[in-house]
Amino acid sequence: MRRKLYRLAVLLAFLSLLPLVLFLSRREEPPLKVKVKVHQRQTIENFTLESTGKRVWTLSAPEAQMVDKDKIYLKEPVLTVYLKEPVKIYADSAVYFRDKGIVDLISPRLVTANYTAYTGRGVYNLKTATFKSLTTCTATAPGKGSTVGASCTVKVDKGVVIIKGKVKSVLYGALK
Amino acid sequence: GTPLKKIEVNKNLPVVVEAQELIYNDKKRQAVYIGSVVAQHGSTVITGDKLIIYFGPAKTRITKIVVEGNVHVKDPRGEGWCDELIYYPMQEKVVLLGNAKLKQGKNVLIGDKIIAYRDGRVEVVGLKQKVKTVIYPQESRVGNGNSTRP
Repeated sequence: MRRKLYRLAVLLAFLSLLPLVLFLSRREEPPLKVKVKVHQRQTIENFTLESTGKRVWTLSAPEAQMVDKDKIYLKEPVLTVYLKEPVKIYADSAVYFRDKGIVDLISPRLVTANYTAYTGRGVYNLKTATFKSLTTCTATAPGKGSTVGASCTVKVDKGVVIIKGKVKSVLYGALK
Repeated sequence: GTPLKKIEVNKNLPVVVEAQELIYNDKKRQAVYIGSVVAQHGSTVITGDKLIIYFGPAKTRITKIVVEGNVHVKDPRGEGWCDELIYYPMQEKVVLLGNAKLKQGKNVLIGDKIIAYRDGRVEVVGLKQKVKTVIYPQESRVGNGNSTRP
């Protein structure tokens, strides 16, 4: 009788441990150690960046996003290059590459005192003060005429515009 | 000078220039067109290798146009060829330099330098080569028959 009781006790003890074993076995394994890159998607409002070097410029935007430490996405940016007459470049959006010192602009409008240049996309080099269009380019001088070409390069500080490829100018009132 | 027909030009018409490349220099107030240049103003068409437009101080008015290399100019009065052409809008004067040749109908003028004015006056200058002018007397019709009057 004592033996039976003993076996029963052992069985009960075993049965009582079963839920614990089940519970422990069902518990999910600890998550795999995955290296997750931490994105600094920090959004900045009223973003303004000022030059520090020889070239004087400011880059401002109502909204900016740090994509990574050297790449900033800008919404509706305005780049102002301070020369004797300031030159402004407006765009729908842009990406500022800090390490390269360039701004990649979508639908930029480069506005000077004498002319305005439009293109679908273009890159401005802050070090060389040069704008290069990546698509067809139009330059207009209010009331004087306009010129279209396959691409354009604007040396902002030298006041030189080079338009290449199927260039066509229409000049109004120039012979009066 | 040998008179050319005078023609009227609507100055309000735009100047249209086509080329392979344009270099505009705001400080020098110059626009340099390079490569297969075609410039048109009204019924006058000029072609050449290179065309330079000089703007006035306000950068609105053209003070001078220079066309260089294989120059050919054509307008209702006739056509001309030269190495270099200079057009002065204000003085309404065109100067053809180097192997200059003007042709109006059968009449031909050849020289080193030809200056043509809007009012039709033409001056031909021979520097290296002699001036050559070929003028066909105009045929006038009298009565029924054709008679040629010297």
